[in-house]
Amino acid sequence: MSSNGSHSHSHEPIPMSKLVSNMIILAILMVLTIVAGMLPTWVPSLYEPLKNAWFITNTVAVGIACWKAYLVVSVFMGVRYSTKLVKFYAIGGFVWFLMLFLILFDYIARPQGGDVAVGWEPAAATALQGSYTVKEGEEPPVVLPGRVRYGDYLNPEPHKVKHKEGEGGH
Amino acid sequence: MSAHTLEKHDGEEVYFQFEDIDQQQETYIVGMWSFLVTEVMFFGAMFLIYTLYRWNYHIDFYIVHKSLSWMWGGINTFILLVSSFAIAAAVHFAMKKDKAKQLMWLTVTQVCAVAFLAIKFSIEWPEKFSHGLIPDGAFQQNYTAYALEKGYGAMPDIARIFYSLYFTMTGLHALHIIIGIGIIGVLMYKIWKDDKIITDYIPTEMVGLYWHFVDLVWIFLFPLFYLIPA
Repeated sequence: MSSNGSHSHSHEPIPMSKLVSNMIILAILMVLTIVAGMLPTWVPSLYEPLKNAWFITNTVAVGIACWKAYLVVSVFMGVRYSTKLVKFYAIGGFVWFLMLFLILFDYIARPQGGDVAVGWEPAAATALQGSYTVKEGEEPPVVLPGRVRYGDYLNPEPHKVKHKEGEGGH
Repeated sequence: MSAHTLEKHDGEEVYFQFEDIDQQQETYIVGMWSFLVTEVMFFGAMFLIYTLYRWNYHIDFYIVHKSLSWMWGGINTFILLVSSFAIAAAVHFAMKKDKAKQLMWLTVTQVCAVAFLAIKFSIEWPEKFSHGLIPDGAFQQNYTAYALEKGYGAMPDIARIFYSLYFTMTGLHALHIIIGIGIIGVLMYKIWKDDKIITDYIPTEMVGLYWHFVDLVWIFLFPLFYLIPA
């Protein structure tokens, strides 16, 4: 089959102005995600309210990431300007990715409470209800049910760690 | 097949199995997307593992993540965004057959890629290595010493899971960057030499798709590791 000179490109180049504006929006979203993520650290008074709104903060973080991903896929990767077949492949890839997460149903469906398999206790079972401080000479506060005890691999005398290392022993 | 042997600048030649040039070029793009879908699954498994552990040990993950620098992570995010823009611009000029500008933007992409790796391998990772925060046999002791030094810490065995995921996922991503640098380097050389495989904008477009995917992975890695909410 001979070539057809009138169709040298499957689509026209994406205008530079479009690429630049997309870049700027992505940069703004990046700043937004940093600010949203660092707020509890930068504004200590917001730590507690944001901790309680963990569902919202997580959704915002993942939401902004998905928005950025959409902008990269649609504009930079040119899917918005592509043929239907390319669109199906691009969307299909991410649907496939989401389907992978169906595996997590297994964990949600498992028995909770006393029957939880060792190593899969919910987060609260770590007895770490929040950031805690290890002070000199103080015993670490954590004991795990059915698992290795924190103290087992912590030096019983934390304030002497450096001294003991200097002697070359444990 | 001899009639279809590639010749210099024969990008508009339509091979016998295609209806027209549009269908032929669509095939290249779909082929590249098929590969990217397998990459989505490849990284997808990692993200799945990450989700599971973070769901189970959110508090510990929050405490451990504070040892990562959001600033360097943010700078690296910006660098990758610029590199993504640069390679999109390179495709733009490839379509316009402006070789000089195409090579210039590919060079910008390369500079960004090297800068990303430089930050990762000379600032971020060595800082962890210096404290012995490598998930090996000595991790628990090293992490305990690190936690005492910082004044806060998570469960050492969960911190170890966090660092295992951190090094695996960012390491795998860095490997993709290194491969990308190699591919873009070869592409630039071929464009510069007017090689016969550079028939039109398609090779640049396909390398671009790969590079955008690498950026895409980082867009998710950055908030998941560096910006965990309280």
